[in-house]
Amino acid sequence: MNFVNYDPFFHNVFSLSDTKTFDLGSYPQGQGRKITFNNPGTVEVECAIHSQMKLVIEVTK
Amino acid sequence: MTSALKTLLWLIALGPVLPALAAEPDHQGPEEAFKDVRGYIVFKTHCVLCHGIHADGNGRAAKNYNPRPANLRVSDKSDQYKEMIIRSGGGAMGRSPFMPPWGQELTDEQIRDVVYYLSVINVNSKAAAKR
Repeated sequence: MNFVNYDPFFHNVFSLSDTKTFDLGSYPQGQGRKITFNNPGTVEVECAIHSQMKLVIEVTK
Repeated sequence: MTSALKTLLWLIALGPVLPALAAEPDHQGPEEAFKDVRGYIVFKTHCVLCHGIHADGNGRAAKNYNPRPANLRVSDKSDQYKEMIIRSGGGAMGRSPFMPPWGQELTDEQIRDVVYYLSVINVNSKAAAKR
């Protein structure tokens, strides 16, 4: 999955989920960072800069 | 209007400000007096994820990072340095790239407030010693 930042300010993409723990760091508009989910399960994705931003990804086989 | 009534009206007008003035030995204005409270709100909203509610570097995301988020209670960095790293992020300062740049997100006042709050809770700072 490629997380592209289309907003004119920084975002940070991370997850503390057991299925996949990662942090793609903080990056500005126009940049994207990729992550691969290898195991099935629920991944809760957050933004460290905007705490109200949340995304739930269901990874299936 | 009697002088007693005038005094009463002044006390009512200053009511919200009086506790802060009493707490600050140098009688700062209300904006200055509440700076640490405002800074705490900024910290609690934006920083606890990594630095933890006690600012000791043990936020819920801390386990993700190497190096770990800084223990801000014992930081030896100056206020100017803290302001720069908050504004520009860790990567720009040669520190952890996981520390986001907050310059677009926080106002100048919010950054000054949170830096002041960090000085208040720092075990080595003058602001902490004043309390």
